[in-house]
Amino acid sequence: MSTEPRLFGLLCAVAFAAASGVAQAQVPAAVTSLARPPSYLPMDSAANLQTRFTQLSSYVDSFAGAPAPFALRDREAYCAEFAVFDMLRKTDELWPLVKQIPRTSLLQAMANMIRACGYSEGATRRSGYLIDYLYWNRLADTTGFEVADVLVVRDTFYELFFNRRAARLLVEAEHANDTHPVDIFDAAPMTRVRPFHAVGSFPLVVTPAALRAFDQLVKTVDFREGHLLPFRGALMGALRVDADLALLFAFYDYLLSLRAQPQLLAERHGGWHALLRLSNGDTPRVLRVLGVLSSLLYLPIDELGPALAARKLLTPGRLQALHAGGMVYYLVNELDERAGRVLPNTPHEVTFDFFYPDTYSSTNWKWYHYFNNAYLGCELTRQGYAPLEVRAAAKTLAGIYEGITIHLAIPSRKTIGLDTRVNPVLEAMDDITINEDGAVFGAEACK
Amino acid sequence: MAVFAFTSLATFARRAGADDAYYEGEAAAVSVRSDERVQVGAKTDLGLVPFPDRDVWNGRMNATRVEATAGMSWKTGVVDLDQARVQLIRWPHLHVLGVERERMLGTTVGIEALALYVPFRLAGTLADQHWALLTVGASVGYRHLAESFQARASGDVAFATPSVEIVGQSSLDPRLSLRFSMGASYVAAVGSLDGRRGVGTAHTAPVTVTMALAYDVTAKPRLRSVRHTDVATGEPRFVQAVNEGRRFRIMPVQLLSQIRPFDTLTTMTSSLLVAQVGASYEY
Repeated sequence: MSTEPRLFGLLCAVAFAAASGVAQAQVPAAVTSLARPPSYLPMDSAANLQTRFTQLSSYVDSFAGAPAPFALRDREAYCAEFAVFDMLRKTDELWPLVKQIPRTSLLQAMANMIRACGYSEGATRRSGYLIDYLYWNRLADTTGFEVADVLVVRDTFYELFFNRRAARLLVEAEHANDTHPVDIFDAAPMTRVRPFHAVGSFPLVVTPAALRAFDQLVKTVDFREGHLLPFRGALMGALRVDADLALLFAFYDYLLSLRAQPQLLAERHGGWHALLRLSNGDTPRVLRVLGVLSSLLYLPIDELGPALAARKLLTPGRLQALHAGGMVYYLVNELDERAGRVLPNTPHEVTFDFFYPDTYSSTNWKWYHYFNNAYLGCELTRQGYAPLEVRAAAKTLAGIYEGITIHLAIPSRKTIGLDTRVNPVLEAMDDITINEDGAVFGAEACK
Repeated sequence: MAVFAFTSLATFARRAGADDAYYEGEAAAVSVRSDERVQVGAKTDLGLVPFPDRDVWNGRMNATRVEATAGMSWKTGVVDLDQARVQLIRWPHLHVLGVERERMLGTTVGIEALALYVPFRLAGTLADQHWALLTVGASVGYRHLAESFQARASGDVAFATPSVEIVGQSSLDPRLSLRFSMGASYVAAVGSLDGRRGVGTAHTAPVTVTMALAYDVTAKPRLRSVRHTDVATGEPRFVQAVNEGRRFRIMPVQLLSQIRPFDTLTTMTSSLLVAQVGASYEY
């Protein structure tokens, strides 16, 4: 395929980006060993963000090739701000865009459109999101590339988004005064969660302790009215702990180094081992970093970032954390796909183990479910709940969540043109399982 | 006056049940039944009803079912509408507000107000070539029963129907699949029958098993191979994914058998075999 050399070039460029980052950072030689990843340019200042932006935009340019006509009729709409609050109803809006462009030239067309949009936040995130749609529905390979390679392109687009968003937050923080719109710090608890309590309580009534665990679990998830971001309290807690941030930054650097040295992905559970090394075996800290700081996509930088900036609480470390945390979500996913194996007992799908503990592997790519619930399991256990109660609470919440979202999955699948009934049910079962498994691991790790 | 009637979910038998809840799209079929009836039926699933909460989803619910089956007796040559349904929401896990007609339950017209089903996975994940789901649930509604429509007694009843069903599919090759279902249920009905005073009971317990072969004649097969390079060895491996787009399938054979060890609700035969051929255009 003619686009393959260009994609290969992009991969090399992304890897080179990591190397050039090393060259600019002052890193003692001792910490560049395998046990301690090299340090890359921290995304904590306007100057560093601009340096990285120059790199990223040049990669997108080279991937896009010579300027071509805009692939969609409505250029302004593609370049405009991409709102994610109504993310669950995006399918009807987004899928027609995918259908209008020949699939095997879609990635390059997106790169060309991003360039034509001046690398706007809207165009970069919209493009990343469209690739996510393909990926979530097992269609990423229809672009003509292996899935992990497609995710490299997606993550480059998303990093451009994070880069521009972070730069904007710095400007907002500079101009912040005492007035600001209502934000996530002001938001009341979400009323839509009340039915969760009512429905979720029902099967747990027979075990009052599990019921209390469920209530505590929902309280920790902490949904807020008008916002998508969960874990507000836990997130702020982690942002105040220097050791948590240090682990996040070291892990992010490690992920970038893995991109440059993919042979390291051959070590089974290698990512988990690295996390334990980097944290000196502090599993609860690992679960906070993976389960809270790193598993919430762009939601923290979208919703917490402006609130912190408005209050002049957006320190360089916190900006770096919002950037790195969001990107870790995508990088773990990308590297998981590259490290995944096809095992004899599950020959039709990829099995992921690289970032999971030694005793665990899954064919479900949704690693964040596992670590969200591992964090929750750990927290509940530390508060004195028994493993069985933790498990029941996590499984109940996952069951309610999947039971509700299957209503959205069915019409979404029809829009995309995939099996509307069986696969959503099977996927929901997979998700409940990985949620439950995560909670069990967290409870065990923190008892 | 009340009558408690017990029966299985004979609606499994209205058409070949192996393609009911889990296959969405359009279908048409011709059936021959061992009770000397021949049937012609069709169904379609439509996206008519918009989501009530537009903050969450601004599309349509993709849930409305319209179906009908006409039947003719070999003996008398009389043609009748054996089964029909118009239902706002008919998803595998949720049925809301359907108007139905069902000879297998002696019902000339009925309303399924609400049904909730919880699926449990017995086998299969997303990429597997085989899957099986166990569904447990119940429906509630109203039925008008008529002796002229093979009910044992005419009347009006409210009903509640707990049921259990196993549905599965196995891909024999990328185009040929075997579908199956096994189900049983229990209907408790309360109402007036035949104008009799007092409480009467009627019950039945059919066990329904269906099997169907479906052959995909769409240009691309349902499953495709996806290349995945093993990072440890550099060797190409291949996993499975589903192709986009609706599938046109012919169903060269569907068999349904139903046994009713006892039945005081209808005058249906105690054992029934249905052979069917058809085609479907589905996801």
